[in-house]
Order: sequence, then C-alpha cells, then structure tokens
Amino acid sequence: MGSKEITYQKIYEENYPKVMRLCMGYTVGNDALAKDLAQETFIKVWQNLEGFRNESGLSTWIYRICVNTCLAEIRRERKKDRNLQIDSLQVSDASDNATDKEDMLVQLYKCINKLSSTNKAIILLELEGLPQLEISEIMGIKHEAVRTRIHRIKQQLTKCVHNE
Amino acid sequence: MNNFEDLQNKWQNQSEISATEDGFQSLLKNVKSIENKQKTGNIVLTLTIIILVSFLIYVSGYKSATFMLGIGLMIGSLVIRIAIELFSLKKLRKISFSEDASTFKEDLTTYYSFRKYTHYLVTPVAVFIYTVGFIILLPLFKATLSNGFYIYILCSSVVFLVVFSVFLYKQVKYELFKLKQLQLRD
Repeated sequence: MGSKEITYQKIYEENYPKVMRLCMGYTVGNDALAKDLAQETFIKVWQNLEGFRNESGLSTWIYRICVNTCLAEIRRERKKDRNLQIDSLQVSDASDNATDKEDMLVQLYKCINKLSSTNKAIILLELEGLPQLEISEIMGIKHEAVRTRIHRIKQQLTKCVHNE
Repeated sequence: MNNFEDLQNKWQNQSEISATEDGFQSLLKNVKSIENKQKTGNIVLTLTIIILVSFLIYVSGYKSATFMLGIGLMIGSLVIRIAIELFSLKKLRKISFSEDASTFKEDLTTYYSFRKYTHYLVTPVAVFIYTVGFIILLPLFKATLSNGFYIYILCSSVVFLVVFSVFLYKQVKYELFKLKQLQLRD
C-alpha cells in the first residue's frame, strides 16, 4: 500500500463509527442504506484528500462531506423501505433494560426523521457531542442561530421520544 | 423524565459500529474501480466521437440533400444532447462536498434549477429534431431497403422512442422532485 492508502486507512478506521451513526440517523436506522452512504462519504474523502488543507480539522472536514452526502441523497420513501428501516437497532448493553433502550432508540430515530434535513443534521451532530461552534462551521449557519435551533430541537425531540 | 443528555448517552452507546479490515479492502476496491470506470468512460466517449465524425465524412460523399439533412438533424440533435449532458456532469462534479452544508445546498439547488431548463427546453427540442430527421429519411429507407427491413427499422425506432421517452420522463421526474425537496424551507 502507498502512503496515501495508509493515511486513508487510518482516517477510515478512526472516523467510520461516527460517519456510520450519522448516516444511520439520516436513513432512520436503515442499515444497508446507511452503509452505502458511509461508503459514498469515504469515496469522496479519497477523491478530495489531496485538496484537504488543514483550514478546518480533519474531523470537521469529514463531517461536512458526510452531511452533504446525506443531504444529496434525497429519495422517495417507498413502502418496502419503511418496513426495512429500524430493523437492526441494538445497544451495547447486556443488562435487562437493553430492550427499553432499543425501544427508546427506535423512537429517537422516528422522531429525528420528523425534522427537516438541516435540523436533522444539526441534532445528529449534537447527539455526537460536537461543540456548537464546530456544528456551525459544518452547517454554514451562524453560531447564535445554531444555538437557538439546538435548544428548540432538543425540546421537540425529548418531548417526541417520550410521546408527550 | 429522561432529558436530552440521556438520549445523547443512548445514541452514543449504540451497538458497536466499528471499521473492519474487510470493509476497508472493499472500499479501496470500490475506489479503484470508480477510477477505472472514469478512464473507460473517457475512452468510450472518444471512440464514439471518432465513429460519428468518420461516419459523417463517409456519408458526405453521398449526394442526396434529403439524406444529408435527415442524418444531419439526427446526429446533430444527438451531439447537442450529449454535449449538454457532459456539461451538466462537469457542473455537478464541480460542486464541492467539503463546503459547509448551506453553500452545498445552494450549489445543488442552482444545479438542479439549470437541469430544469435542460429538461423542459433542450430535451424536448432535441427529441423533436431527432424524430424529424428520422421521418425525413423514411422515404429513402423505403426506396432503398427491402420491405421487411424497412418495417423492422420503423417498428424498432418507435419502440426506441417510447423506451427513451419513459427513461427521460423518469429522470426528469426524479430530478424535479430533488429540486422541490431542496427548496423546502427548513
């Protein structure tokens, strides 16, 4: 493997889980579609790797590519896809309340899916624990506006997950 | 009541999603295959252009003005349509996925708006000119070809036109849907 491939593998290994989680959020837990989107994201990372100039952190850069790849993937939701979704949600918890957690995750996916595409991206990044300033850089929205939006979406989401 | 931090915790503790060696190898294979496909695509395109130009040079010796008009309209409309498609592809590839999401969405909306004009104006005109060119050639085909072959050409062209129109219709519908979704207010 050449040096580009070695760097690429390192980037892939370090970033795959977060890219995949973001894609799962976008596809309402559709594992197959999320894998396709994650693959698409890393293909673009490879194609643009030489143009990456540390202006933003590598992680921010990859999140941008991932969010944009998911945004560009606009498709009609088919009935059979709806059945396929949320089919592979599991939590890494061996205790008795694992099922409760899975139920809550299913509900969380459903609630995220009710949001607009931009709000979806914002809250998925927030769920990943990114600083709001970084979210604002990824989304191209002013920091203040992001803060307000996150506050609003958090309330909506918490309410929706608990069916209030 | 669980708060947002609780949801965040559950989100981050979803079942282990980790990168695997197999996953990376398959990705690398895919990356290389895309690069090869692009090279093959360029070769096919160059060959098509060479064949079309050679064909035009070959038929330019043919003295019939009707034939030249018919074939000229057909090839001309095809070349213009291909050129616009290539231009669109170039425009699409220029859109940077590493821009911030707002800029990216704006660029994508501009691209699909441009495609709308291609679909509503250029494509129908190109299909119409292509059909006119074909109709001009029909009397020549009838005079020079056997009856069976003439009927075959006539039927296959109708089938081709129907299949092509359905394909175009689906593509247009899909791209317009994308534009509509992009223009939805957040």
